[in-house]
Amino acid sequence: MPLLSVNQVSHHYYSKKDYTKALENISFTLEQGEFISILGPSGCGKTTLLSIVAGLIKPTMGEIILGEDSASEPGNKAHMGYMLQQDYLFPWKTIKENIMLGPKINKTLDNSIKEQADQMLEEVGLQGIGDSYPDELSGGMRQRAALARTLITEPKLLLLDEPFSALDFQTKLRLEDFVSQLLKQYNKAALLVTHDISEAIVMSDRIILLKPRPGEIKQIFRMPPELRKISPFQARQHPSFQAIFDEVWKEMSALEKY
Amino acid sequence: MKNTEAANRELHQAYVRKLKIEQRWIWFWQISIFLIFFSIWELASRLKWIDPLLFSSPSKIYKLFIAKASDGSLWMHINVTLFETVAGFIIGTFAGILLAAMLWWSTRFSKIIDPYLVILNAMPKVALGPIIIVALGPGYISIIAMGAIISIIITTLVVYNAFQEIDSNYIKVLQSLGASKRVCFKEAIFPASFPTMISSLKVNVGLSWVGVIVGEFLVSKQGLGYLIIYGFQVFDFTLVLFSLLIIAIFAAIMYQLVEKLEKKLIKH
Ligand SMILES: Nc1ncnc2c1ncn2[C@@H]1O[C@H](COP(=O)(O)OP(=O)(O)OP(=O)(O)O)[C@@H](O)[C@H]1O
Ligand SMILES: [Mg+2]
Repeated sequence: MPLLSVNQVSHHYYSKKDYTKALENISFTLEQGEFISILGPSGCGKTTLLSIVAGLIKPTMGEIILGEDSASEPGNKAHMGYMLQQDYLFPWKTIKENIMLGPKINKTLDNSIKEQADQMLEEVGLQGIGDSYPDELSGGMRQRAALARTLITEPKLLLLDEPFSALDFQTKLRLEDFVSQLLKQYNKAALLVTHDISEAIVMSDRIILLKPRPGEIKQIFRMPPELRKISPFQARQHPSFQAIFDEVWKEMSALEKY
Repeated sequence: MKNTEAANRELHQAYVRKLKIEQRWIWFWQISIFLIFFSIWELASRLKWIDPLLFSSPSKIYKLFIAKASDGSLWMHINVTLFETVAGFIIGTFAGILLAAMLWWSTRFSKIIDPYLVILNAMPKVALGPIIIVALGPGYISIIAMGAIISIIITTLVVYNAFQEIDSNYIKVLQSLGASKRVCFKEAIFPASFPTMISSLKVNVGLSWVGVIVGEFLVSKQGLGYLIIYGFQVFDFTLVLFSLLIIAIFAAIMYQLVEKLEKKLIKH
């Protein structure tokens, strides 16, 4: 049984005057430990899809099946870590308080979690700023703090909405390696939304390409195993990288005509 | 390097000196206006430019102050009015916030109740005075109710508005971490609206004084509002102006206290 099955999901946004078709008949499955990237132009429904998987939006049609149960049951949400497109750190909480929000809500806050938060800060390169407030941090630092907040709940499935988009290139490469290694180590699954083709290639097992208006699956690419064995940083230099990049690029450029 | 350091320090000190001088000028004019106002008032009254029976004079008010302060009746009146105002202010603010939380909790309730809130808000609350007195009796309870009712609805509307303005993605973050509606309120809605609540405190202080003074006009046998209406009835305008000055002083003190509280609470 796959960790996550998305079954014929469609979603419409309603207003009084009209409705928007955001997603149309999306189906795919995600196995334990698998990494899938969702690629597509702006407005094709990537964020909507992630919110539906997270159980925050109920799809107009279709269903999400998680392991055995349905995503609408609140108990399952704890197994997912959802990182939104912007950091949404709470400005009145310190960075450390922000990071420990999940454990606080689930009432598992204790000294070991506090140590874990310090460790997490170090891993995302934010050691020593746990007592700062979000408005004292740069955009990239805030995004890393938001990543730490998502990771500390130890989710089985990570949902990442363009987590690396506001980062400088070096930090981005470092965090890609960090996240990728973490996921492989604990055999966790992830669904990553991105605009960046090379990021999708080096991080994922599969890439789902969405086409806009309405958001439909255009194509699914499977990444070769030789790229999966190495780190994202190394994969960028691998000989087979360029060919895959060109293939995805061609398909994605074709979408711009829509 | 050392030289420029010293020179820079010199410049900074000159700047600080300039600030100090500026501040002294401001104080000078503030005190001058105060003195000039009361001197002209005193002079005008003595020289009969204005009718001393109607407009009294600072010296008469001061004499009255000494008399009332020494026989203790002044403190009693101040106590009564202060108690009523503080009680009305606290009840009004908290009831307003509570009502706003209820509106937030149930969108349907808020939609149903909306037109009634608009009407209640538009209505001049002091016009309810006679009804409140008939309902709650001619005592301090009615006066406190006046002080509270004048600020409840406006607090509700302002705070509820702040509750709605928060970016729904903060709620999404909390929900994705498994938060219930109650936790969302506690972790996001309430703290995000905290600055609005504090600034509504400042507005409510002023409103509560209005409610309480009008309430005292209507029923009471004690308090600063009562002194004003009593002075008016027996044509003792020294008493009226005296009470007015006392009210001004205490309203200003309360406002300052709330402002201090605001600074303390809104550090982050
Ligand atoms: N709350 C909403 N109400 C109405 N329409 C919405 C809402 N959210 C999104 N939409 C519409 O649904 C479509 C998909 O939006 P979505 O945010 O999922 O796109 P996206 O792929 O994440 O875009 P981006 O790459 O710019 O983040 C868009 O056309 C958008 O206008
Ligand atoms: Mg998006």
